[in-house]
Amino acid sequence: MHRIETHIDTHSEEFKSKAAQYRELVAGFREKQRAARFDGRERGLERLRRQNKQFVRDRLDQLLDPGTPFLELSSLAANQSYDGEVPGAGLVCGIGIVSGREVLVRADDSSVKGGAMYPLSVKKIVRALDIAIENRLPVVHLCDSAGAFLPMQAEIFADKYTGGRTFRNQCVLSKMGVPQVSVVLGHCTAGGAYVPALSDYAIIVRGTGAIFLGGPPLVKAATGEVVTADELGGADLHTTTSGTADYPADSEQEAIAMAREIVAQFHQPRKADIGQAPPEPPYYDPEELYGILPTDVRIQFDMREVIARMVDGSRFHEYQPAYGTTLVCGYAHIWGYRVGILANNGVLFNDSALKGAHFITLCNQNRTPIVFLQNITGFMVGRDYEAQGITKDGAKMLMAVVGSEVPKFTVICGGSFGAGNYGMAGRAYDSRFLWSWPGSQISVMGGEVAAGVLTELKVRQMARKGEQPTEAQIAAIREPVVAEYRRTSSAYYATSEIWDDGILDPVDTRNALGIGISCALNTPIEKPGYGVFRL
Amino acid sequence: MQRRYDIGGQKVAAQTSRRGETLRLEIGGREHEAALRELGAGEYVLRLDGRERRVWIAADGDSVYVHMDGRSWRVRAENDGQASSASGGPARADVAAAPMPGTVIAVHVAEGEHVRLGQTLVVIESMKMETPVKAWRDGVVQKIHHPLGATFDRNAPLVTLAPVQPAS
Amino acid sequence: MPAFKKILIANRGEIAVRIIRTLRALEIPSVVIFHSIDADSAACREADERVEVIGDSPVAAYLDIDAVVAACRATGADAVHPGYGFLAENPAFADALSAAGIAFIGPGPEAMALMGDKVRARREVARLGFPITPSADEEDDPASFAERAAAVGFPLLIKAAAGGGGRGMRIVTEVGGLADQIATARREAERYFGDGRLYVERYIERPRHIEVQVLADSQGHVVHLWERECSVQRRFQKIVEESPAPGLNDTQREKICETAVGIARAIGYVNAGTVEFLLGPDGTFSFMEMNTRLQVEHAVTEAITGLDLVGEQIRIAAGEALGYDQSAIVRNGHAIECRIYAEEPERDFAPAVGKVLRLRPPAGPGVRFDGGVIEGQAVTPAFDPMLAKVIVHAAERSQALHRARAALRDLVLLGVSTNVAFLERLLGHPAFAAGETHTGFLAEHREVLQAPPPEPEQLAALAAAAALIARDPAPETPQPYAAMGAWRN
Repeated sequence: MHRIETHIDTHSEEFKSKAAQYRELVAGFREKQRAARFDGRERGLERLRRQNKQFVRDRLDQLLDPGTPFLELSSLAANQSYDGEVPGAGLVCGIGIVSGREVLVRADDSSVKGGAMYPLSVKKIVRALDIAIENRLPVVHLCDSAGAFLPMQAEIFADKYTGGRTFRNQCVLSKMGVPQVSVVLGHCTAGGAYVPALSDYAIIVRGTGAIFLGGPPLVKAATGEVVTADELGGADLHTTTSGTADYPADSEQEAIAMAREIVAQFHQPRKADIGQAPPEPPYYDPEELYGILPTDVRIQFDMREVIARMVDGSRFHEYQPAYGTTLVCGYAHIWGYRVGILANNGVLFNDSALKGAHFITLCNQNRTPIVFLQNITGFMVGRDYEAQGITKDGAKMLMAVVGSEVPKFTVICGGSFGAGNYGMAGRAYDSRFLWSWPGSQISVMGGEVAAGVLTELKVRQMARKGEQPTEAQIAAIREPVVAEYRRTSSAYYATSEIWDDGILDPVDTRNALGIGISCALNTPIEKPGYGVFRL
Repeated sequence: MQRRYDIGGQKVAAQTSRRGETLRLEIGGREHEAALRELGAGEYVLRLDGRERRVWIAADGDSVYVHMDGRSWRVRAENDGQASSASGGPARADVAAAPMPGTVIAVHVAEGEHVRLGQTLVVIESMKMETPVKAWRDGVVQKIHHPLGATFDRNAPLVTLAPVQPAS
Repeated sequence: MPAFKKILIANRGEIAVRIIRTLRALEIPSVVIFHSIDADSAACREADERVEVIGDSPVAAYLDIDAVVAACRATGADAVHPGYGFLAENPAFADALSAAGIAFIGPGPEAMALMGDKVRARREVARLGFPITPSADEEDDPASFAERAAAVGFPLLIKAAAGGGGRGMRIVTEVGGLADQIATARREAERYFGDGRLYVERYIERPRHIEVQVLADSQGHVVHLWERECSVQRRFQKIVEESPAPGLNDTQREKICETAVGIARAIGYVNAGTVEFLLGPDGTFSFMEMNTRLQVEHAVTEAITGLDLVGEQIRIAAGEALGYDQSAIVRNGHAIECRIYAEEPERDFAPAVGKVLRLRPPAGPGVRFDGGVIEGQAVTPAFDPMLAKVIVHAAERSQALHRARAALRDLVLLGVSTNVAFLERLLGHPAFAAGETHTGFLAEHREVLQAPPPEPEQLAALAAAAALIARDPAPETPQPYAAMGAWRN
């Protein structure tokens, strides 16, 4: 493997001005993230203080081992929904270290709407537990939720991937032998009551913690019985009489310390052995990514420069460097883990698609996890390319991606358009983790193209009615189309809808991938199997 | 893991984790890195956040004695986790309930009497076994629910200790 | 030709070790008696021979006169050094040894008996024309004791006639509490000394405790080895002793030392003894008592005079003449002794127990460490809680203070709470440094009792040390997490 030779002049004006622009973009993202984590909490935090409860971030700090990382997932979930009033979808999910064990943490944030479950909250939990299942991660649930947000119950309850799925996933985890601990720090009402009940271990805090299928108001309405929350489902009831929870604790701190002690008892499973080199930081400073990445997705950049700032020692073994050059393929190490990388350096042609499919099968053959770095406008269109079978070559790439058994990781660096999203392991293709960069865009086709197509359709409709729109009218049609398109194709919209596992500062990507790969190796790597390749 | 210490009356809670020889501690929201190198015969070099000190350390049970900065300190480890779960459970309730149906065969205390943790309150017999019901905390006997010779069902209250006013 | 063939030490702890050192220098074989609790003690290790003594309690074992005599017979020891405490001031013991033909290294039984009875001693000293504080003795007329006591004037001090070591002493500030305090003091005296007789004396406020070391041979030569100031005390027990006394001018010094020599000579005293005085703020001093033995703080005098007091005691006991006169005894520099106790100054000097897990004595020029404990030894409540003494000697007082504080900081003694850090603070206190010492020093400067709270950084270091030494190590953070540190995205 050789160190990638950079062609970036970090002293150039162009570099500096690009860096300044991208830093501004990242600063915007950081500000949104900060606001989602902390802003508008005054009332919620005041209520928590009165209830003798802690803010979810403080709970997390107590739970996690000191000086260890925490990879937060979907920190900006729901940032474009519910008028922005349910930041983070009302819960914190992430991967961290508790008592030396890699665990997934799911923590309700009751400073947001009392921790009520909105549709995207449920989606975030389902996704988090899917991650736990796929990567065999023990789960710590920090429970403090008011239950389903009733006005939206239709979107939360009945469908396959809604409320019931969260409990189904808990059962699946248990069946797989992956342990779960629930710490009941607030109310676990109705469905929420099953979170501790389905956990292998449940700790409940005296006074503040309660578990019940129906809370006191519901009980009163249903049977007329007047009963306090503590009598109905408090710590002493559940740890002495019902057996729904296992350990009473006198304070949140004690409960969390007990959870840490319980996690310390978990067996440390053996990881899939893919061989590991000693980790080494990239030779080129990852912060240089800011001067390399454009803030406009229409501007092309060389993915090798990105790879050089993400992988160990900036070393890369490029596969087929002279063939299908719009898709860069090759091997590198991230945090000592060998990975195969597929990175877009332009539109996918027939040869690049074939090269990609071939390289994916190679990685499966030699048990190498795959990282997809997306900046893709799609597969090439036009008569010649159709004639050469661009669709069938693209299909080969999809087939290889789906048949792949090694863990896949996807980073949407720039554009992610059309079938390019599929071929490069988009959300539907079961990457273990998928992250976006702040300036990325994702849609079925590029925004300008789409706006053009949509405007053209409108103009034709008018023409059929005998109308001849003026330039101004056409512009008036085009503007809202473009605006709406821009909104729904932005990374913030994608992450709001949990199409990804969160937006990452590009500089953080290496760590996120390191943690992701480490998690993925908890699951054995099976032999690959593919469907029929249209040859 | 969480460790709690009493250092000359000051309580310190430290979350600890380890990287090989390096210990990470979080105390009151501040993170520290520490390592210990033994020079022999109880003498060590303690490194904390880059500062090195020569120290002497000796451990005895729950106490660790440290000579540092020209004086000796006693660092007493306080149990958490297990101790707190022991303090949990039914121990916090005010009523001792019968673990199984049976008969009261001895009453050792009277209502209004001060009792100490571990003191036998009543003795019950069931399934041909005698079981003493002991005070689960210090307190005052508020009520003895069944006189000598009375029978009771499972979960029946046996002895109530007057509730403790929670420390503010 | 050594004075004695073999000397038995009827004591334990640091003083036994101290005496053995001199015996080694004199090439006299040593024997110690020991109770099984001390079987692994420093004294047992250092002595050439050891004889176990048995008793109802460890203290009782060391007080068993017959056992000591038997031990001398069994080992062929022809002299006994009693150290301090235990049998050191017991005339019956001296008599028993004498009857067995064994030399007692100390004064004769008569002087011991006289000075052991504090009431008789004061009366005799007054009769000989030496100053004593206004006082009233119960024995003179028990019926009028309370009345006569009140006439002495307040504040006054109630003492046990048979007392010592601070026990049974009570300060009474007004006539109202007098009767009750007399009753309490009597109960204590009966309990501690089996002798409920009391006396009262005027309590001198802010007095300095000045004592004078004397040596007298059996030929009638008496010299003093200058004074020591031992004002800073807790529960009437000395903590720090020094010489020269910072509160004396040369005239006062000459006068007080001459008075001590006069008393020793007048009562026909032989061997080493200490005459204790109270020095009032007005410069007047009065006789308090005489200790007819080697004192704990004798090392201070050894430092400034260069003499080996134990060696001198042995020579005198063997009948040798002093061989030098007062003019030959030259003071040199300043010496300070700090007593290391197993106790908690922060908790009203409550005695502490534990086990000496680690001991590293201080060292350096002018630093002497007299220790009676070794690593692994249990510190039990069976004996006095004094573990060791740190004695420093320097050209002048401020240098000695620096040296003493450095030695206290260097002393590593782990496994039991001690007063070491407190002593270091005490010596650094501005009033102490200025020599403004008196017996109420600690009551006046209570702040010195409280250890300053550790800095947050020190707390972190201590918690880190404890966690690093713990048997259950913190969980290892797996890679690559460990290398990422506290990263957040």
